[in-house]
This record gives sequence, structure tokens and C-alpha cells, in this order.
Amino acid sequence: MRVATKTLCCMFMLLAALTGCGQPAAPKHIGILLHGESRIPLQTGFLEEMKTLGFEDGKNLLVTTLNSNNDPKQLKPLTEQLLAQPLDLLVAAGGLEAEEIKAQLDKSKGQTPVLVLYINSIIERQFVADRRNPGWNVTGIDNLNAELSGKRVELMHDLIPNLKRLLVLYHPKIEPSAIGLQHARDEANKYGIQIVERAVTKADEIKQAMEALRPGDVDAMLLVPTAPIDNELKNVILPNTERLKIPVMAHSRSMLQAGALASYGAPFTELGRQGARLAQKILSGVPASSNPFEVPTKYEYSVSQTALKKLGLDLPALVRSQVTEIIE
Amino acid sequence: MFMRVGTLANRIILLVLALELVSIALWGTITYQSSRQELTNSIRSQLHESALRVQTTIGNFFSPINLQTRVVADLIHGVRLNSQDTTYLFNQLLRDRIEIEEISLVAPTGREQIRLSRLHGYAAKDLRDVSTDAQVQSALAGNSAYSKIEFSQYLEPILHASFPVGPSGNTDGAITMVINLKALWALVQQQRIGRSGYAYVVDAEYALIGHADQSLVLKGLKITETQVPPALLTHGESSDVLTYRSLQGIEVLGISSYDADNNWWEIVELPTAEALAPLDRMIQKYMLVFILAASFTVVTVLIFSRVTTRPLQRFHDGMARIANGERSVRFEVPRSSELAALAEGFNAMAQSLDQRIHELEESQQRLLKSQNEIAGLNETLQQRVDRSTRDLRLTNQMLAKTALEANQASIAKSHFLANMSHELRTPLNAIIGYSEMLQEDADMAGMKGSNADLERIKLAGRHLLSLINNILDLSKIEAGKIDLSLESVNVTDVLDQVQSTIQPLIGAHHNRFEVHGSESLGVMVSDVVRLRQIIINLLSNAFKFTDNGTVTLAVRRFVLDSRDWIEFEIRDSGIGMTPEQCARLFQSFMQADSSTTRRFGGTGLGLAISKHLCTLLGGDIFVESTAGQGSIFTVVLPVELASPITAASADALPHIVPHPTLQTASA
Repeated sequence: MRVATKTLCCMFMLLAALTGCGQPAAPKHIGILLHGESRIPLQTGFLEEMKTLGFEDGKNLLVTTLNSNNDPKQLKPLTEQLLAQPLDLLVAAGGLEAEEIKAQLDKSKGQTPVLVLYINSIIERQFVADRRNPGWNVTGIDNLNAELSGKRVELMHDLIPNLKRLLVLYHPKIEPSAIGLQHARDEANKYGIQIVERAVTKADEIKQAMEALRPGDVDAMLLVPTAPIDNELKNVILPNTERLKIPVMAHSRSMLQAGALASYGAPFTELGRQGARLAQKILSGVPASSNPFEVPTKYEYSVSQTALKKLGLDLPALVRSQVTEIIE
Repeated sequence: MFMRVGTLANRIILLVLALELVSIALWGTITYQSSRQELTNSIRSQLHESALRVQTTIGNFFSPINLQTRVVADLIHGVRLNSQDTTYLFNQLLRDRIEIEEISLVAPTGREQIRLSRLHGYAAKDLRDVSTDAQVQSALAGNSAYSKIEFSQYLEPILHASFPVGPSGNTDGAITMVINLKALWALVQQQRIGRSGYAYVVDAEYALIGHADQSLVLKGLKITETQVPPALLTHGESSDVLTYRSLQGIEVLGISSYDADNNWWEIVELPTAEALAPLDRMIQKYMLVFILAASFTVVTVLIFSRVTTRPLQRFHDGMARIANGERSVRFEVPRSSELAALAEGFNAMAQSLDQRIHELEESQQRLLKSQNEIAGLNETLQQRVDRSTRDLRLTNQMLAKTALEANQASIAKSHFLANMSHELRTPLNAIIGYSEMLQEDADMAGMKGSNADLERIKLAGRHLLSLINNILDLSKIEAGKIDLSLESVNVTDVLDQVQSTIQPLIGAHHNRFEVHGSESLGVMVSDVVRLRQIIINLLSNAFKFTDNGTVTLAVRRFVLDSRDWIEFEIRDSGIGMTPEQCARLFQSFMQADSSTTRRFGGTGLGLAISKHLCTLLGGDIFVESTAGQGSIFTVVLPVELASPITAASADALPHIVPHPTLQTASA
């Protein structure tokens, strides 16, 4: 009798093995560092695509998101807090976050894989040594935002009649901001447009710079990609541009909803999605540094119909041929 | 841990399992092989179809660009569009075709008239003279032209294309553009082969320009530097299905097709694990079927074996119960004929056994009863034996006491006799001497009438003296006070002395005396006095109990067991003796019977003394007699007696005197 019992037990154990009874894999732990609400669309696109790829927060994915709320001083402690955890991947939403993470990893010789969703001028700002071989365990998407500043000036030239004076706020200590300014300056020169430059480093200065402007001082405003400035768009910049009755050319479609006239660049959510595909590879075991930095696959030229109306502008036929989307 | 296969049920299970395993394994192997072949053919066909589909899809990558560009070119040429309208169309083209990164309109002179970019702004001052560009020249000549694929500063594959504006020979210029092939990646990513299969594109320089994993493209990978077999990159329509390691290092089945229009290869790969997954699933199914079948078999066989072996187990238990003494065990006869026969046989055996046991018990009871009786008898017998033993022990004790007393009395008697004999002999010798003196005086006085009385006194005195001497001798012997005087004795001399001594007796009963002896009898070491006493005593008895007969003394010397012996045989033809008389012949004061004493006189001590003396001289005396025919007394003595033998040591010594012809007297 014992023989039969043992035989049956062995068979059912084998059956259990064949039918795949096993423990589920431990969830992957991802940390996300955001610098202000302007990064939210990046995070949204990232998590949506991660879910599409089979990683769902709370199931097989554990996501710890920390937001500095546009306070640069918070970036360091938040980064320390994230790096203190056993992360499978640390996601930097933007360049400022990425630079803080890099600084701390350089200091601690940490090897946590890092993914940057939104960064530009990665060579110029010495964030990586090379696009193909970054020199540390990082990858991400170079959004080319600084380089696109020239293209935005061209688009503004076509969009805004009699554009002569173009306001540009920039952060002198943020490399992409200065690079973006330079591209804008170069392009503006071709069309005889004067760049009205204002160097700002913090919210107060932005507010002061904007409030100092009087109607007629500038014909339009170009946002060069600078997180501290982007984060003041809704509360400081756009109220003032509305006061000045000047259009704003932004670099993200989401800024149109806040009041900007037009935007040109890679959609934030799309960048987030693109980053998710890189995250999938990293979580599957591919080192982050084995993935060369990518550039966006798609650029959108969006124009706000509302802003056009507010500003009393018409959309020229030539511009219509360029616009990807007119947002009501 | 290890199962015990000895039981019938286990053997049945193992046998059936083994048969089933072999059957399923055989079936599985055959099915697996045929399925594998079918699957391989299916995969081959699937990959070929996929390669064809990929070639159709990716190969047409440039078709929309070509078509739309040609439309625009026709519009520019046909409608004579102005710069603004052309720019408008170019913007639309840029917006609609994300592959196009830059687009330019080149005048027939080779100078750019319009230049639009997705990333950069180009004002009029940025326009260039591209008349020396080969592709532009080709387009201006009416032919579309493509450059080699290059990689941009952002590591993306790009190529330059030029299209004529207007027909060949009548062109109005050319449209040039930079096409970013990363748009190809999305197309490549859309190519799904199976669940995890994919496609990728390799250009004429063997550089990877499109892959589902775009990081491989961004790395600037050259296929020739990987493990992809060169046979994959042939310029035929399509390669054979090959198995190799992919760019990511996993084993894949791959097939390529060369796209001559685009001068690149489209390669389709399917991981072997997925391709052969149906086989794995089939094996799993086989295993599942096997396990279920085996489980079912085990349960079925188990039930069957239990049903089959339960009666056997009951038989076993029944036999165990019988072995333990239960006799009323009987089995129900099962339906199975074999088991029914077994049960019937068992029941018959049990009944027979019961009967035998019953009989055996009865016999046992009878035996027990007998044993009890015997035990009672034994107890009685034992009691009797104990009582007899006790009585015997008391008797022995009494006898021992008596013997001790007797021995003490005998010793006392011997001492007494020895002392008294000496005390008696002195007056007796005086009596005899005085009686002889009186006879002489009477003779001299002529008192003849008194001689007869004196003669009687003298004879009585002599008889008494003889008796006393014999008693004295016997007493000395028994008291151990006799001393032997060993010396060399000439046997012939002894015989002569004996003849001389015995001479008066020869004629008393009209007997003849014959002496036979070898003249070479030689010398012996012994006590000559005691030797003579023995022979004379025996001869005296022979003459005493023989009338008108013959008395013979024969002496011979012989060797036995390397020892010299001398035998003295005294044979008479007298009255003889019965065996009973012979048995008590050598006891003290014993003659053949009381009548002998009355008839022949004598003390009855002579033979006892002779017997003792023979023993002391290291020999023995034997008698053979037949009533009415005569007697033979034989004395056997060692020729050389080393040392005198005392009475005590003589009793202790084993009887070693040879008796080759006669029965021993002591037997």
C-alpha cells in the first residue's frame, strides 16, 4: 500500500511541476524623481507605457515617486532618499534631477541604473561622455530641446506677423538653457529679430523679470527648456504675457493648456513612453549603459486656437501646413 | 524509503506501470519525432511567409515617400508653383512623412531655393549650392538617386535622396531630402513573427539600420562582427532557415531575404524556444497523459489487487489465527473459482486439522493422565527408594560400625590369639614332653596298660599344639606380624626337603606320591620356610583326603609378561569338592564341610594360612576340584621376590598373579 501511495505522490509532484506551480517573481522597484509639476506628463506617459509592457504599479512593479515641487534644494535629500532604497531602476524625469543623481552616484560610486526621460545637451553639459558609451550606468532620451530653439524661432517668424523683439528667459547656470538661448539668438539673427534676454536663476527673479516688462517691450516670448522657468509658466509667466498681450512659444504641448500659443517639440507623454521601453530592457537585465541615448521619434507643432483668439491672430496658410495639431 | 516490491500487489502495480510506461514512451517517441518533423516544416514555412511579408512591408518603406515626392514634383513642374506654395507642400510633406527630416528644392542650376528641416530653421541665407552633389546631378538629369546609408550625429541611420522635378531631359530642378530611417524602426517593430519573433534590416555595408531593439542600431552594429552566419547574407531571394545565436545571444531560427530595390537584407528571426515550444507543450502533454494514466492505473490496479489479494490476506490472517490456536476459522467461499477452490481446500484443511488437534488433545489428556499416574507411582517409588536408601544407609552405617567393631575384634582376637597361643604352647609342650617321659617311664616300669592313655594325652597335646601353631601363624599373618626372610632358594632342594618331611604321610592311607619337576628349576628368591610350609600343607591335605590313590607334586617354571614364575601343582585323586565347597575353602576354620572335620580332623586353618602366605610371597593359590574325583591345588610364585609383601600391602595390591590354566580361587 505504501508503494502505491508513494508512487501517486511522486506523480502528483511531477504533475505540479509540469503545470508550473511556482512562486511569482519579486516585483521590480523603481524610483522616480520629479522636479516640479512640469514633469508630470513625462511620468504619466512612462507609467502608462510600463503598464502596456506588463509592469503595473502595485502588482509586479513598486514605484516610489518623489517630487521636489520645483524646490531645487529638495533634489539632494530626495535623491539620497531614493538611492538609500534597493532600487532596480532610478528614473530622472528631467535633466536637473539627472544631474543630482549623477553627482550623488559619482560620490558614492553607486551602480544603480539610471534612466533620464527628458534631457538635452547631454554632451555639452558633460552629462555623458558619449551618446553610445555614456561612461556610467545611464541611458535616456535626449529631447533636443535646446537645438529646437532655433526651429521654434523660425516657426514664430512664420506664425507671428511683425515679430521684431522676442523675449527669452534663461538660467545662466543651466547649460541647456544657455544653449537654447544661443540657438534662438542665431536663428533670430537670420530674420532680423531681436532677442530680449533675461537671466534668471530662481522664481523671484522670474517674477521680477516678467513684471518689469511693459506692453510693447517685446512682441513674443520663447521658452527655452529650463525647468525652473517652466515651472513658473502657469503662475508667473503666462499671467504676465497675457498682461503684455504677447504670444508664447513653448516646447511642450501641455503648456498650451496653461495659455501658451504654440509649442514645438517632442511630446512629454511620448518621451515617457519611449523611456518606458528602455526601462523594460533595463529591468530585464540589460545594463542601462548598454543602451545608447535616443532622440525623440516624433515632434509636434501644436497651436492653441484659444490663444490665437485672445491675441487676435490668424493662422496663416503656410503655418497651417506646418501645424500638427490645433488645440481648441 | 525504498518500496518493498515483494508483495503481490506491488508487483502487479510495477508490472502494469512498466508496461504502460513502455507503451506511452514508445507512442510518445514516435509521435514526438513525427510532430517534430511536421513542426520543423511548419516553422520553415512560417518563416518563409514572414520573410516575404516583411520584405513586402519594409521593402515598400520608400514607396509612399517616392510617390508623394513625385506628386509634389509633378505639381511643381506642371503647375509651376511659386516658392510659397512649394514651401506649403514641403511643410505638408514634412508633417505627413516623419521619415523626411529635411527637404530642399534645388533649382536646375544646382542652388537650393527652399530648405526645410524638422529640427533646424533655415533662412534664405542658409541656402547652399549643391550642384556638385552626385545625387542632385542625377536628379537634375531626370533620375532619382539615393546615397549610401549614413548615421547622423544622433546615431540614427539616414540617407540622402534626390528626385527630379519634371521628366528626364526637361527637369525644372530637383527635390532632395534627408530620410531618417528610424521611421523604419517602427515598421520593423510592427513585424511580429510568432509571439517573440522579430525582423531587422541590414544595409549593403552590413550595418544594422533597423531593428525592433533600436539600441542595437544606435550602437552602430555591424552584422559581420556578430555571430550571425554569413550564409544569411546572400544576394539570393531568400536564404535557407538557419539556426544560430542572435544579436542578443539567444538561439534563433532565422531566414533572410535580399531586397535588391533597397539594397538591404530583411532578416526574420524566431527564438528556438518559441519555435519548439509546441514540442515542449507536447512533451508536457505526454507527461500529463502519462501521469494521469499512470495514476489511474495505480488506483485501478490497487483496487484490483486489493480485491484480488484481500482473500489471500484473509487466508494469511486465517492461517495466522490457526497458528495462534484458533480452530474455528473458516472462510466464506468467494466467487472467484480459483479462490473458491483455495477457500474450500483451506476449510477442509482447517476441519481436518481441527479433528486431528482434537484427537491429539484427547491423546494428550490420556497421556497426561498416565503421566500423572506414573508421577504418583514415581513418587511412591521414590518414597520407597528413599526409604530403602535411608534403611540401606542405616544398615551400611550399622555394617560399617559392625565391621569396624569386627575388625577391632579381629585385631583384638589376633593379638589375643598370638599372645595366648604363645602362652598356651609353653605348658602344652610341657604336657607333651612329660607325657613322652611318662611313656618312657611306663615302658621302663612295664606299665603297658598306661601307655595307651599316655599316648592319647601325647597325641591330644600334639594336636592341640598343631592347632595352636596354626592359630598363631594365622594370627601373626592377620596381625601383620609375620616376617619373611628372603633368600636364594634352590627349588630342587626345597622339593627334596618336602619329600623328606612328607614321607611319613605317604603310606598312611596307602597312597602313592609322585614328584614331577624339571631338573633346571633353578633358584628362586623367597622365604624358604614359608614356601616349604605351603607345599607341605597342601601335600598333607592331599594325603589326608586321598585313600589308595596318588598324590602328585609337579613343578614348572614359566615366563609371562617378561617375568619368571614357578608353579607348584599338587594333584590328588581323593574325595574332591563341590564348587560351593571350593568357594569357602580358603576361609579360616573352613574345610569342605563339617563332616570333613569330623572325619579327617584338622583345624581348617591350613589352606587359609597357605593362601595368606602365597599372597605374602607375591603369588597366589588356585584350586580346581571335582567331588569324588580329586583336587588340584596350584601355587604360583614369582621367581624373584624383590621385597617382602606385607599383609596390608598384599590386600592393596592388584591381583597380578598369572593363571593361565586354572580358575582363580579368589574369583
